[in-house]
Amino acid sequence: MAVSIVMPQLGESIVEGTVAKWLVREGDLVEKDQPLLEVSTDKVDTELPSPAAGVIGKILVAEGRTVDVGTVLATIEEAVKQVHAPGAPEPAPPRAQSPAGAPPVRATPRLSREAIAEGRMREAARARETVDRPAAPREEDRRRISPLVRRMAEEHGIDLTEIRGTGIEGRVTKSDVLGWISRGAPARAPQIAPAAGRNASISEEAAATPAVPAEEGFLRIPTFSVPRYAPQPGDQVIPFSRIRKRIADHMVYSNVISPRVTTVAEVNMGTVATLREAHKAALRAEGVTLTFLPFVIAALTRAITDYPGINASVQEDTLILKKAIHVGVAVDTERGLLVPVIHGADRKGVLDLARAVQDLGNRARDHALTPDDMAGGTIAVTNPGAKGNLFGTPVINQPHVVIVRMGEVVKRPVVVEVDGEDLIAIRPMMYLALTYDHRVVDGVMGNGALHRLREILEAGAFDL
Amino acid sequence: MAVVTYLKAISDALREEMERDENVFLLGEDIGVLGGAFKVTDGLFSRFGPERVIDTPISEELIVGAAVGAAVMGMRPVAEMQFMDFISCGFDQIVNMAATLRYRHGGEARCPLVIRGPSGAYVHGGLFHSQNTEAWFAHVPGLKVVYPATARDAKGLLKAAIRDDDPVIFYEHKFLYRRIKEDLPDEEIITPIGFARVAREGSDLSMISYGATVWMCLEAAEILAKEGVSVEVLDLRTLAPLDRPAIRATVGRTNKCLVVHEDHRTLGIGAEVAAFVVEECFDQLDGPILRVCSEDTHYAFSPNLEEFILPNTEKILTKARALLAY
Amino acid sequence: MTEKKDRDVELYFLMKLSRMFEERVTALHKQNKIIGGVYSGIGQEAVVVGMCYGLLREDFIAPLHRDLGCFLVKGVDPRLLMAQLMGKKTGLSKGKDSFLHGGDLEHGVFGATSMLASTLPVAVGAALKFRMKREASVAIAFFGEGAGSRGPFHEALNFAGIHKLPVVFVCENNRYAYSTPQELQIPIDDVADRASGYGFKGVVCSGNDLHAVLEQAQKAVKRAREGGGPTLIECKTYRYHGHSEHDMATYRTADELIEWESRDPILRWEIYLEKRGRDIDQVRAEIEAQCREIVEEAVRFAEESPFPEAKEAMEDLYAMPIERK
Repeated sequence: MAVSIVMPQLGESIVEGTVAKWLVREGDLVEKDQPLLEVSTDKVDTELPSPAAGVIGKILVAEGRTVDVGTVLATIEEAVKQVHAPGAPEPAPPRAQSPAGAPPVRATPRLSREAIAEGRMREAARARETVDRPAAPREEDRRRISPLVRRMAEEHGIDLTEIRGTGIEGRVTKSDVLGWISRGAPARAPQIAPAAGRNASISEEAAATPAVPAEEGFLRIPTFSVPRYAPQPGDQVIPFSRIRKRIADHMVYSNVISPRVTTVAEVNMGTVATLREAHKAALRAEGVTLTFLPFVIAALTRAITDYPGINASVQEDTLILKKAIHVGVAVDTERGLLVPVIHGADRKGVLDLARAVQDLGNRARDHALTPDDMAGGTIAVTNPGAKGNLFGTPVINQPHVVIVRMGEVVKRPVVVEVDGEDLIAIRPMMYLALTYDHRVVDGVMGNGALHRLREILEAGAFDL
Repeated sequence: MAVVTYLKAISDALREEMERDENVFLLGEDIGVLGGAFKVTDGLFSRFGPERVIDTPISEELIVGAAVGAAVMGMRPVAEMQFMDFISCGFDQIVNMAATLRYRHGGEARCPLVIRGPSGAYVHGGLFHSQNTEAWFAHVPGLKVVYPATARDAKGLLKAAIRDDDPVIFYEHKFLYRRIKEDLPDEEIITPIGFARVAREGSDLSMISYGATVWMCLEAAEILAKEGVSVEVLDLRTLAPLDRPAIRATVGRTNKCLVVHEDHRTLGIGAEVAAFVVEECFDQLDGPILRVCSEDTHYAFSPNLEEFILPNTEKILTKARALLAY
Repeated sequence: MTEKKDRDVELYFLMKLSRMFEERVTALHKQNKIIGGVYSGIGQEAVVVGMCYGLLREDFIAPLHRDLGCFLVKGVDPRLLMAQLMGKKTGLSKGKDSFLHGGDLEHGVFGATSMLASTLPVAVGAALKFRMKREASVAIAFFGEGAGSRGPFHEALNFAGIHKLPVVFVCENNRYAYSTPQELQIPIDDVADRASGYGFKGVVCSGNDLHAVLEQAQKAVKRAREGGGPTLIECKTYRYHGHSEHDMATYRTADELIEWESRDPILRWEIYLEKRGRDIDQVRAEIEAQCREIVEEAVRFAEESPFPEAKEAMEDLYAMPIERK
């Protein structure tokens, strides 16, 4: 009897999910609750545990594809229960039970650094599983690869399945690899492949997910062979976590896809500072810290009214101007930078925004964000806080077209006009940077929006 | 140049150091008139007299403790254990008194002390004249542990140990005493502590060893060379601190690692070598790290028992071939 | 006569300093300013002061864990001693070990291990050096009646007896090895009797009578310096506190404690000073003021001293470190 694995609803408003990675392959023996695949929605990733024990049948949705909630991703054949029956004859390897001619998920192991890292993670996962049960036999398990051979293959871009091993049980040895290289093996240069290929397929399915125009051919990422560094004693080798990998892919993608322009304004925060002082204590009683950030968010929502083009996203050849204003707020956590979202920020006063910022920050650090918290942002603000330095040029949180970055607020001598007379006064000043996607935001709009933002902040007429 | 045995090399080192530095003196059981159970100190009593070659009562704890007391007062005592099996009777003085001395005195004390003696089996010595106790002391911070395999190193390392300002446990292999003969130069030999020695260069497999088994590794390497296999033999020489760069280098050259020692397998020096190789040279390994060691039992007396327990060239060859084929 | 008077007051000062220092240590321990085990020698001051008084800097002493007075008499800086007890970087062992395991070889004070009697062979080794180098120095090793049951005691006395080495073995018989009474420790009344088995003289004296200790100490030290060989001096004494500050010493009676407190070595010395015509109230006030100043200065110094940095745990293992990373 077949059991279906379906895309679950991972949040109240979630209607679709992306298959990030399959942890099993067709024909694998799995146990109930064993992780089968990773599903991702925005930045919240999760593993789907198996609903039943059995053998993985057909995998229907490939890695990288985004499908609606409820879509069947794969099936599990429960027939193998007899395998566990005491005294039962040794069953044929489950792999042989997979449908004849069914193509494996991967014909040959990819030998990019990423593939190797993935392989290691898979092995680590399997090692944990074998505590409880024998691992499903696989080609790679039978071919025991020594650490040296694994490294040599990685360095020379060699597909080990192409080499006939002369070691015990056909193991590929060092001399096998050296012989292969000396015979002029068709070595492939190891590449740093940006997220392009991986996300390309997503774009076919997912309207909300950005497209990489690699297929259209106007963007070519040159390959570059990075010299391998052998870790030295004392070095720390930290494999990417899933979140780190997502961040890295996102940053590379954003940098490649959007031609960024950053414009910087110097903002007199004097009025805002006075307001902040006046309300700080009341909020502190609630456990909320009132920073400059909620003022900037409030000002940004008002600037958007005048410059709607900055609250938008690009989808293939289309610009979508968003009606709702959902402001993403960058939060630093031990796992990496997250950008949870304040929904309907334009409908909130400054104090409510402060409460929302505090709540998201707390929950981000407590690992308590829901997929809904992460979804739907239309624009983002990043506030590096007291150590934010003069200014910075942030990378756009895709698929937004604008991100605003706050510098540190410091007292500076500035020229102010008092009763028609120029005076040098000390004021809390901040460099405020606005980065825009020059594909769709022209200089007039980008500069105008930031200028407006500055006016609003300096005027300090806020709904609290 | 003169042909000297491993034993004579040790004796010469003692004599030369006593002549060089009047603070060097010897104490131990039967080392005076008799010249030691193995005649290592033969002739030294008549040369230096009873004050510098002291026959002690059977009191290992006193021998080590008094050596510590003299050492902190500026002397350079060399204490003999008649057999290294007996060192357990002086254990407290070594691991608690000597090893911690400088540390608990806030770095304001020196303990230039050598404890030396015959170790190891292959001589039908039975349970209490065959033991390999080096790993006990390699485990203790504050001690240095040295184990030469050649006459040259026996002389050079002992002279370095006597001149060292820290407690050094100096192992001599009784099987090698009269079997190893080498031409040694007339000029002074000092072998620095802490450095391993490549006893034979090779490219296909590293044998990492020390003491008497170094010679068995060399014999096995010679046999394998006739089969077209190139074996490197690394003689550790110093067991604490281990020469980690040398281990890293040999594994980097051959990518296969066989550790050979006479001490028991469990928690022997080989376990530390293997752990280090896995920690720091993992992606240099083209096969598992294998060990040839004594079985985890006592060094039994009857010849067939002793042969079963101890490493030999055949056992090394078997493991080496398995690793080469891997 | 003046010299005699000054010496009497100096001895009083040393016993008072030792006691006031220790009382302060006990208080600091209760305030959690001194962590770890605190082993009080209060009640035994006459032994350590009497044995060490008049020794030279070159003389070697191996004190016990409760012989704080030995350090003071031998000239160790009280500030460094207090820092040692607090585990500070400025302490004798730079924070590496607690209490009296840190020695000061500059002043001929050897740091003990916790293996009692293990320092006896070491003192014998120091004496061996004095003999070999024809030096007139002496080595003094302290031990308790309990440690006299251990092997190194016998091995050390045996060897010292054979070679007539310049060493004095001082047994501080305070009747209890932790909780074990003397009757369960040795089958004879006097540890001093052991000496005859090793070919030298053993004497018994009251460890609470400074005169008695001084007399025996000076005889034994003179004998050692003149090549007459070792001596075993057994000082019968009593510790007022438990084995350590966390030991309530319930294994002994209140009567026993009171009896010994009435033989207090410092009170006895005060009576002696009074009989010698001193105004004891005045002397006591002056000495206590002096001692308090020294102790408070030591506490201030120790409290202001930093703890060692974590990485210092790897330092001072070797005089000639070999880095083969």
